[in-house]
Amino acid sequence: MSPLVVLVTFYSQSGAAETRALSAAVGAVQERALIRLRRLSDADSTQLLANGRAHAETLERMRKEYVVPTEADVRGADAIVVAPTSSCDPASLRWSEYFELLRSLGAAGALTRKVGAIVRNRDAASVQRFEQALHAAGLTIVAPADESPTPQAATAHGRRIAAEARSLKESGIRYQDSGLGQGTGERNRR
Amino acid sequence: MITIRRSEDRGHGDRGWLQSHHTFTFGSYHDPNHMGFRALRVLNDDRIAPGKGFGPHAHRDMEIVTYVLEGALAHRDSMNERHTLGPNEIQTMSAGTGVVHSEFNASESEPVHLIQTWIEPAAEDLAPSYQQVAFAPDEKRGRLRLLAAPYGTEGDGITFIHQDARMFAAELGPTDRVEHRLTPGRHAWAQVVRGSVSLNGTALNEGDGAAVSDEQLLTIAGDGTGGGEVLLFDLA
Repeated sequence: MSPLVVLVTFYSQSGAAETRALSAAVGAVQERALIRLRRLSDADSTQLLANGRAHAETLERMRKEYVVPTEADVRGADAIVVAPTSSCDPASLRWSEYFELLRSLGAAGALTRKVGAIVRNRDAASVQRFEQALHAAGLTIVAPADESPTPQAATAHGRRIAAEARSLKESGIRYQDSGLGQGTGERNRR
Repeated sequence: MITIRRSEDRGHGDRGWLQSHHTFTFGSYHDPNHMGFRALRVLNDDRIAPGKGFGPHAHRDMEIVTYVLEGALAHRDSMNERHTLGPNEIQTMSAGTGVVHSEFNASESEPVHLIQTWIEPAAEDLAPSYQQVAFAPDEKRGRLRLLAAPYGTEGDGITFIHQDARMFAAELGPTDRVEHRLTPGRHAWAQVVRGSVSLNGTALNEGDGAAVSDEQLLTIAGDGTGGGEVLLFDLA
């Protein structure tokens, strides 16, 4: 079986969402998954740097260290994990392109037997909107055991995500080996 | 028995911003005859362009020892360790159950040249840890300076690894000579990281490595006009 790949995508200006994304990634690594960490681009980076002097260094570093998620990243991943900032929305300018990509890949059947998950922040309503958007793209949602927005909870969630993704991937292989053909996509909540 | 691994026979990776030479199989370079030596699994000789580097990526169950020859390397990891590593320092990261880290050239104007080795740990699922130690340049001039050793080894100014392996550095002038005795059953890897040296009479140049087994005494001498610098690994 090919290695399990967990794609963690975040957007952050201050580094807070980055910390949660890293924590979730560490959990996935603990569960022996390969990880891909991606950061959404700053459409208005010049303005951001001018406005956010307190975070300018962090912002510059993140812009240097990360690349944006690609279609190949999504296709190659077994788990699609999103770490949004509070009060953000999947339909926002920042995230809409990424979720449009997920929706189109989901409609094409490319997300079958993959899991989706949100790394918790303090905004439960925002988390719920993101979870619904992942679900709408056809991903099997993995909910955390601990809903708190802490790095420790994110790491535990990362472990759970990788474990669920592996389980789903292995079940898919068994399903295909049984000669019953392609799966139709699960829309349950794990 | 001493088996030479010449510099020009190593794998080479060119990403533009990264020029890397792989003594052993690594990344897209795969050679089934060079998968490592004893617990030494990776030995990469990397040159990273100013301002460039490796974005956040993960490691698990590996002892990663980094030695900078020129320039400075900025390190950040998921253990909240944020450091800059320069020459005459040793950095040892035990990945254990999992670490995510980034490594970037800390300079926007000068390249960084480093040697990174990966040593397989004696056990899996260990707690991740980070160590960084600086030493005076004189401590490696004309002698073998211990950089990394197994946990439990007595001594100051060294880093500790979860493996029965020791790593030394020696900077040898043209008239310098050091000896290292291998206890029966142990092996060694010598890697020339700068200039030229001789190992038991065999000339080795920058980038050359040598696998040593069934030898009792290693004599390493500075060679050529300027001598050289060597990393020596004493391995079970």
